[in-house]
Amino acid sequence: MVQKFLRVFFATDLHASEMCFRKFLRAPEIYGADVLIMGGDVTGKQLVPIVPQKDGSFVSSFFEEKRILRSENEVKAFEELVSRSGSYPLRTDEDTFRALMGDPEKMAQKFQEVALGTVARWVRMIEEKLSNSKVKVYITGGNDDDFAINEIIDKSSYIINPDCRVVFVDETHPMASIGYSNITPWKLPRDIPEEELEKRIDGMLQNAGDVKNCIFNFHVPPVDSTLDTCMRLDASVYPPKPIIHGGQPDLYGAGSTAVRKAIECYKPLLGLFGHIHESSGMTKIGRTVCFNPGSEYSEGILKGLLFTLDEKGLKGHLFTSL
Amino acid sequence: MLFGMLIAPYVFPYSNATVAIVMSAMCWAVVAVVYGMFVSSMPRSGGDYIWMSRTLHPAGAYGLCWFQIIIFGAWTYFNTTAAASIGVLPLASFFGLKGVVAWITSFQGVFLWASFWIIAAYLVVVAGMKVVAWYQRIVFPLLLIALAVYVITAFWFGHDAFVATFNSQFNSAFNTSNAYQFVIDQAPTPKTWHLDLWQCFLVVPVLPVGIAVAYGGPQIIGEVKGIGRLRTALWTFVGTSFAQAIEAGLATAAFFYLAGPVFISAIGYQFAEGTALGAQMSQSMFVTYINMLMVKQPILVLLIGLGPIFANMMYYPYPYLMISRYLFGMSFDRLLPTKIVEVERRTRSPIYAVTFVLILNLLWAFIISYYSEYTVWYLGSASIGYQFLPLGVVIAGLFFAYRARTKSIWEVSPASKYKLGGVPWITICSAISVVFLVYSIWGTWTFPFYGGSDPRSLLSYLAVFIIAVIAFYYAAWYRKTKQGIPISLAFTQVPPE
Repeated sequence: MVQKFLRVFFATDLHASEMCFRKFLRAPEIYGADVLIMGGDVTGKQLVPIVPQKDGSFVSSFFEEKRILRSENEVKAFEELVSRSGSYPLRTDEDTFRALMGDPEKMAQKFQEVALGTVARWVRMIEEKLSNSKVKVYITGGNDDDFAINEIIDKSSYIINPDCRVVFVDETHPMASIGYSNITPWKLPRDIPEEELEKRIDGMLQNAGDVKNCIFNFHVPPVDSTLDTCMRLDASVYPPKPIIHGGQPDLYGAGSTAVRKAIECYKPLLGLFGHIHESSGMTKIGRTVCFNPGSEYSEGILKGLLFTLDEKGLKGHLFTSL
Repeated sequence: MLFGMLIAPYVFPYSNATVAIVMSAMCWAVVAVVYGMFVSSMPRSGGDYIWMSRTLHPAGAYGLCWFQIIIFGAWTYFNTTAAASIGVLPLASFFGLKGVVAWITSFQGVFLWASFWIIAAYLVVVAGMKVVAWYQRIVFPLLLIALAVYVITAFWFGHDAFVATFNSQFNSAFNTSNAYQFVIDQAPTPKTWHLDLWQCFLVVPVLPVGIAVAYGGPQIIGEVKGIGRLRTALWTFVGTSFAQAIEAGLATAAFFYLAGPVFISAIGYQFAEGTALGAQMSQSMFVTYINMLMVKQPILVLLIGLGPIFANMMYYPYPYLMISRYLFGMSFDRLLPTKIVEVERRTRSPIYAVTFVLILNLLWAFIISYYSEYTVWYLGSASIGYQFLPLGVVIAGLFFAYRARTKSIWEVSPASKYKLGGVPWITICSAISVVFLVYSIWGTWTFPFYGGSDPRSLLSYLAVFIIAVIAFYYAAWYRKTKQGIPISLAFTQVPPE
């Protein structure tokens, strides 16, 4: 006889991958999830202009490879490829393209317009698909995401934005979420110093009551947890480049000391993290089981974590990656 | 390899092991291409297990990996004893270290020698991938130096010096004035020789060129940055496959030049038939010992002896890397305890998985050293057994670009744009690899002198496979009923909305 559990599906760092999002939408159906949690870094990384040429073809560049698209079908297929991998295809004319390339501020504005438009569309798609079900959906931003996405999510009557507050996923399990991260070499919207991150976490948990059943849905993983291993970057150049010693990249734990301190101090039930895409895994810090499902958004692979809870705590978990 | 050098020329009289190595390398390179394309498409720790479980069937992948794990648990032991017999023993004999000779040929000596290196390799792997990389960076150039000395001295001193040295060593033992010719005359092999490529092709199944390096990489791919790039992946696997072939090919070519193909064929007869004459020459000692006697200069002799030691040292960490990453992948899929997935904070090494391999290695070392008569029950068909896993991978490669649950992964892979007549290169290379590996397994099965087809060990593999599959379904049942997690979801593609 199968016991009754609360089944939760957590995925993070989708970075505007259309393929990953469309798989995420089907998680309740395929995984039987009662709760969906989309961790931070929802928005993508770049615009990919597609510019028409005089001969009727289109030209674009993707991952440093020039592409000539000779028909509408080819353009559509290319747009799908770009969307799938977490970038934003943008059909534009030659003059607009040159104007955007020549003006970083205009480019940033256009990017934000497209990115927020995608988030709004995703919110609508979730509402259309799931609002009549009993599935709860939580979406937080991450350090890569502009604060403007909070407004878009907050406007939804169905999706819950748990950022910087404590909500209950069921009667027993509160969830504290925070999309801020410690400072990264990339100078992102929600990068803040460790001291400020610590204050925000403490402020959020002050009135959380008993946190022994709490889920920490923090975007940045705890430092030196093996969930935060990545290449050390030389931040003196832009874009930052990996530091190589003897042919091997220099690896280190880029996680947050404030998050580790919070886990060690508050001892929650479990931690859900993202931010470092290549560091998927699980570890235990004291009694807290910590997970990072990782991300392969650019390949269209939805990496996630399916876990079950009952009144006693975490029952089981499974990493998914197809 | 030693068998390939010495016995195959007898069984296939007009073959040349060097040419066979080149042929084998080309075939294994195609297998390596499949591995490289898989790596660039799905760079995950656990390699073979991950690709087969996602493309074919998880229970089958689990079973296949488990019987492979048990075979590979003995690999470090065999590499250490190869180093001892081809390197340490001749060196000790040359320098008159009788105590070392007696010790290294005793049960206790073999066990302690193997255990020392098994533990040393464990410490290297546990220390993390940086240390493994440094270990290889130190050993590989030393191997190249020793190999260069061996090859150069072989061609420098030449055939006549070899004949003279062989005669001086064995004339009195064989009671003749020309032991070299005596050996040739004893064997019913052709006294003239011409190269027959077809005969060389028949030797190919018994040359494990490329297997080791095809294996060396995939399991650690989650930790090798940049391996997702196709060029890096192909360079890693195909390049190192050829590197091993060049290493083996040069050593074999040198030996063939020194000894002559007719003589080697005659020697092969003595070893294959287990004659008293063959026992007097001792297969493993013979190859390097004669060279040492020929060269005489102590430093060069030392390098010649160190060559096989360094060559085998390159492979000591491999079973740890391979097996621990299989276990890591399986634990990620909840088929093994969670503890296996735990990674040590400082070194980022999956310490529990690696420790399991240490225990397996030491267990095999003990059994093989003291109860070797029982090892045939599992290792008697190891030469076939370790080909089943790459066969599983290339079968997965046949379907990878077409199966619904992996097609979308393939389509965004950097390897997907490479097609021939609309057929993906991974499919083409997999098809060629399937043909080659089936041939290779068949050849190893039917080749009597290689002893690769002991039915007892084949039954053991089947038993391990079946037990592992049962364990898979038990784990699936347990996770579903006790923890509410159907592990089949790890292998289920989520179709996009």
